[in-house]
Amino acid sequence: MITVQDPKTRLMIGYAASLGSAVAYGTVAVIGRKIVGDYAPPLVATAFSMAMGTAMVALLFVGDVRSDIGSAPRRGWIMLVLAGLAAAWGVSFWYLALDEAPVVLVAPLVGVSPLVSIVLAHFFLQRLEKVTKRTALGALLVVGGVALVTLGNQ
Amino acid sequence: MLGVLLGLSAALGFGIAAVFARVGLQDIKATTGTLVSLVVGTIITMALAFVFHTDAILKLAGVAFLWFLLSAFINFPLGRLLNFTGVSMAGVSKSAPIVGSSPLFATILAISIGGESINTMIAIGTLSIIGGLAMILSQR
Repeated sequence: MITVQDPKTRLMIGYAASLGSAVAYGTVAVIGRKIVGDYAPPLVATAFSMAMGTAMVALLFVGDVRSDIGSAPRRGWIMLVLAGLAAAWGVSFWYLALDEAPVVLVAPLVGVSPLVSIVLAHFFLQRLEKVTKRTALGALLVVGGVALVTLGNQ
Repeated sequence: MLGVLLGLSAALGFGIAAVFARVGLQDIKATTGTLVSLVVGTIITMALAFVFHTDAILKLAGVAFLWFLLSAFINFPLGRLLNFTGVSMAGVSKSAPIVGSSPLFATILAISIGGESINTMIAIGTLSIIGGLAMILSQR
């Protein structure tokens, strides 16, 4: 794992990583349609894919994990466990929602999660980062656009 | 109405997860953070999968596991790790909407490879996403 100190370089790497993540998640969504259509229910596909992903990450980054075990404070571990629990809560409620309503309704609702993060960051992470009006407006455009793309795909 | 509440609850879960990750990743590497979140997620989703879909799991075809493997590789060592790296380096308020634009890339792939067609709603949505991304990414 590379450590970068320069704030501008960190920001640029953060932007590139986030865009890379969006491309990866977009690709998985296309593959996921094939899996769910032909082989397994969504929850089963997610569970097995996540188990395999866990094994891959563990094998690839065992050195980083070992060094963090010796040095990272307890607070960091607790926060990341809570992040995992919250994400699992998100996945579970997503499937429950799909049992009650069509994907055309559920997907745009779930798509507002970046706005949730921004609101929480504004109120609770003021010492870590500043939420600008430009970021909030950009996020609104992205979330609105995602809703339109989702509706247009149905 | 129940579907709306459940969908919003899912959004709340994903939104809160990113904020917890932002705080935790101050002290811990994105690689380790990815693993911790995956271990927790795997335990819960695997338990739910066995509770609700035991029959489907027992009937899974061998080839399904190859698809799971492909999905796992793109989703976690790539998608989740890049997501956590973005949250750690750019901050959750900038990273979350960028990552949230993933349906745009799914649509581009579906149109370019899957032969699906574009319509007015997709075109307007795409422009809106690109505009939003440009606003966020142009900040230094």
